[in-house]
Amino acid sequence: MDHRIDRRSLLRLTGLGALGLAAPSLLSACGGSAPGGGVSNAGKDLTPWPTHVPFPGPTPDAPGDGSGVQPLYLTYPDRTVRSVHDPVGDGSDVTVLVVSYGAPPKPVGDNRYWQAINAALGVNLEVTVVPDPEYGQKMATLMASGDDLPDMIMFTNLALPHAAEFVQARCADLSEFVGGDAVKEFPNLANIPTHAWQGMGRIGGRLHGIPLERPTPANSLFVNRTAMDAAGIPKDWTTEQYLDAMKELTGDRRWGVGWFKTLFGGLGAVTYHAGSTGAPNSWSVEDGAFTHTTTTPQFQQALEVMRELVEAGTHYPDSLTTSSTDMQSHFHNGTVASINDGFGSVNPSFLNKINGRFAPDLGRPYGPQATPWQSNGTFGYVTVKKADPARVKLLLRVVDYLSAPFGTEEYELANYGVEGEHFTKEAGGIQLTDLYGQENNSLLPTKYIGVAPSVLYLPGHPDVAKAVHDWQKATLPRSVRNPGTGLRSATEASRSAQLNQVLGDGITAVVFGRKPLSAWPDVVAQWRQAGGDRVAEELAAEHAANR
Amino acid sequence: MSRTNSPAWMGRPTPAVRVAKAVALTVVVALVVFPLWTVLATSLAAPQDVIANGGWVVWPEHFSSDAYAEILRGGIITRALLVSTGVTVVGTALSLLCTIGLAYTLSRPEVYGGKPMLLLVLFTFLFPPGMVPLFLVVQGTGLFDSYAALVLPFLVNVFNLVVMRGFFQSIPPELIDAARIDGAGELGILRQVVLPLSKAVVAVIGLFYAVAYWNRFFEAIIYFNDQTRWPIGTVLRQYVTGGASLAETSGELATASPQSVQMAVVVLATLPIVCVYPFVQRYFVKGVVTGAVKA
Repeated sequence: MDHRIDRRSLLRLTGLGALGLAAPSLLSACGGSAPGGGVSNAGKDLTPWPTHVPFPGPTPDAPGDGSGVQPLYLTYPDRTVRSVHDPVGDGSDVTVLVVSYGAPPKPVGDNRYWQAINAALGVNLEVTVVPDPEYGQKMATLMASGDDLPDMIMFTNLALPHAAEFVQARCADLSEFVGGDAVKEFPNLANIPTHAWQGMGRIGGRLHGIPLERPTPANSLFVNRTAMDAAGIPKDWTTEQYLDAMKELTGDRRWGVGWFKTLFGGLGAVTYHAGSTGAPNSWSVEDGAFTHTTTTPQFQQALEVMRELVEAGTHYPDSLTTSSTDMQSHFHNGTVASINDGFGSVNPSFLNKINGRFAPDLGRPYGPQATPWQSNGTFGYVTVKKADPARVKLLLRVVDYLSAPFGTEEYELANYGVEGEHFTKEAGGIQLTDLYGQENNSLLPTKYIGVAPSVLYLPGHPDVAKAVHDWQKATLPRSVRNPGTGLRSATEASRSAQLNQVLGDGITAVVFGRKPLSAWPDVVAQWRQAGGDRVAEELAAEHAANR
Repeated sequence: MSRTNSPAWMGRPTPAVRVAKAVALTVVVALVVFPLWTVLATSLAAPQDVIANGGWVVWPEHFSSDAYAEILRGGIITRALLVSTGVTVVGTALSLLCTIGLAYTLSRPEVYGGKPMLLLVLFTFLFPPGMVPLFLVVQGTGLFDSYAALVLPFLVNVFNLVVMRGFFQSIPPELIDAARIDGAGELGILRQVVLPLSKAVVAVIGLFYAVAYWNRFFEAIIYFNDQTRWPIGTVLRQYVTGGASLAETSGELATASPQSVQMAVVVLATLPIVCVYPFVQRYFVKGVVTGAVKA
């Protein structure tokens, strides 16, 4: 008997395999349902948003307001208060699955931070961290894995196919525990602003999670204020002044605009400009119909400004290939005078990297009709495993504890660790120790189980905090929200990567002069065909239901 | 000038050609060495040097081993190194055992059912299982959260199997017949005739397996809920990628390690394999080419 494989049997094998690959898609075709399906809010009784009961915390140096301006603290409060008075846990094990962006945490036996958190919560927290690049795959296997789910699962804003269906079917319905006035049983959850709950959204009319709040500003323009001042560039600028400024700051191997590769994978590079020219934040709603921002003349104006930046050579030459990390280094060392980055970059580590080379600031929008874009108000949300009400309440108390606001003992423990071990208080500020570098809420991401509404406090950099607060006051009252925030669109969940790519490629081609501006409507048409129109329809149906 | 009858490539090249060759070789070597040097130099530079240079350092002004200290403290790396070493040693041994056994069986023309079995094996080569089905198998067989999940699903690599089978088939059948006449059984033939002749291919396939086990990072994330069991690949990857995509996509606080730490990670991850390579390299070309062309 000869074991050589002839061409025919190989072909047979290939055909058999192809059939196997095709089978799942045939099956899923049978199960297809109406847009939104059971997770849609259309036609459902809607649970009221949790009542917002703000925590009377320490008096800030400058107050926040309803437009999203954050309370400003120049120094750390002298005295912290307690926000949780009753015991949280009963000594039981609580398993949690969270995303992580850092190295794995030290095991609980060697980890003073983890031990302190366990002691404060009165539970044995068993944390599974999922590295961010593999988060999508891990969740896919988790959803397939049957009954063996962790007690709490953290969902990021990453669009996962069928995530909403999974949450609806497998995670506890929290409506009766946190909907409306019921949330008052958990004071720190009641302190979470409504915009965060709305950013998370309902599933099938019900509340299935606790949001992880984020400040209102979205992707913003960070500028080198020292360089701007030296060139005589004003804080408030017109379109011409902005363009002149970028030209002024370019030359001698320095550039005005620090774009990087991933900004062009979607709308990232345009956000600041579209907000400046007055384009709606992702969508606009008129008579219940959703229109995408890319179809507006203001959006084309934004593209035109970007084209001019490129024509004048004000952008870093390798913008389309440079990684964000490298471009941040170029900003930190003064090679580029501005960079688009998330508002979350306003943090001590960013300031340490700049190391006093210059004063950082945020750039104000340049157009007279500016509509700066808001973030969706959350980083994600935490769900709770289905269980008897007592167990669900216990898990909610864990989230409540970790959501304690700035100025409380609970916040101090969750964010800075144990005084004398992870931090010390010196001269009215928090000084982090070396141990904090190894044990903190990034490495053991308790901040993704529950998080306090954010405030502006930058230890050691009160001047920068003040500048950011001024920028918020000047910018946020005009800012606009994405009306699609918190609404469910099945097409968006399954096709967002593809849709973003169409727009990102189109923007790149137009901005870098490979296509004329007149080709933009073709890009939009391509986007509509790829699913954009369906997303608009689904959002409109959801919007009508949520009103 | 002596003009001989020997072909052009056998003559001594002119000085110009030799200079050109030297230049070409230098350029090629520089192309390889320069990035490696940059990685090493960046890993040894102070963080502020890295920022001042825009992310890469060719000649560090202030030497600093902080990056290595940061990675190695806390005991996470040492533990992960132990896990990886264990998985690599045990995995490579088991993989070689199974691959040799299966390859030898499938290389014998007289084995009953050999062809269907070969087709079965090749099928998985053409259509590897998807992530979720594989996960369900791992979970269903009770391997979840156990080190075996990093070894058992990957015991036999079809490419390696085909190469080894080809090598075994190239061994003259007369040798095997002679051994059989001398009274050797199949196991005896494999042990005393075939394997001694196949050192090259075994060394190469062993290296392939070892590198694959050493580099495996993804499976630990999917199959383990307990991160203290992560192998070195998974842990180091977290140092390199952690936070980078976060800042890009959602504008969160980026916790990405400084470039010097990332490059130190690259150095640490490559070092063991670089150390092993020279010892197996001499078998390399012989082993793969011999097996590959004689199917």
